[in-house]
Amino acid sequence: MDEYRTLTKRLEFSASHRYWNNNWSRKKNLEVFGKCTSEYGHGHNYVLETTIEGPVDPDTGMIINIYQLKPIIKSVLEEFDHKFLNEDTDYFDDLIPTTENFAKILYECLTEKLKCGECRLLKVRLYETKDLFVDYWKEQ
Amino acid sequence: MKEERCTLTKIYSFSAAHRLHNEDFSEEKNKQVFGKCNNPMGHGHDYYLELTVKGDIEEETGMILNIEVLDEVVLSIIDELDHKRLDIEIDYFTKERASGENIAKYLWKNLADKIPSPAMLSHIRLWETSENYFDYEE
Repeated sequence: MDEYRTLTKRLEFSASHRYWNNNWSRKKNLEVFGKCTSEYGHGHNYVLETTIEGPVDPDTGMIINIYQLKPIIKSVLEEFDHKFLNEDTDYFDDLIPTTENFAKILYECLTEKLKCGECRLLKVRLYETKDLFVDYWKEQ
Repeated sequence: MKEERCTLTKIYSFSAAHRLHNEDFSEEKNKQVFGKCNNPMGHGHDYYLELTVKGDIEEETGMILNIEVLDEVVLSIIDELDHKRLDIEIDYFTKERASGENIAKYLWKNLADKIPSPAMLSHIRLWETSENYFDYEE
């Protein structure tokens, strides 16, 4: 049986967002989301860690070639990089762009694009700031 | 069926001094076991606490737990340790060695019940230096 191993690639991108629940009053939004309700949004330098799991190809010694992996992740991030998540993408029309929800969206976008032989997306870790990150994965 | 899993981790810091010493040991044995950490006047570290909570992403807020709420809970506990000599000023560590292992355990014991449900404390990683960390979970 092949030994499964993991590989993690980090990539940075920048985006802005705003937390607002349309079903709530202004008062409740301010109470729950505080400064994150600021009307025109605010931004972060996000760092996405993408973890791939798979067997090591004996010919290359690799799970997946980084040269192949990096453009796939970049193609996903292109949609979000230097964008206002709430307005410039379709993902957050009915979803608040919290780190939790953003990690989930990135996981789903990457899962679609990372169907490459035997390897698969295991987990994403999304850093919003250096001291705050969310892990998102699915139990098999 | 694949089940969604999500955790949120926030990193906090505090600075504290300690001395590792066991009164039941001889002076020689204390020096042998604890080495430099047995220095009578103590020494200090900038500790980093990586605190991980788990739970479902609430639909209304898009969050497992509001960071401001988490900050309030965690800061109330680490403020008690911040800028203190742990083995003298903190009752718990007058009885238990103020080692990284025990500080991580102390933080878990004091924080686990205070995390507002349905979120739950999932993991604690305590960095004592950039070279040592201690993981604790129950």
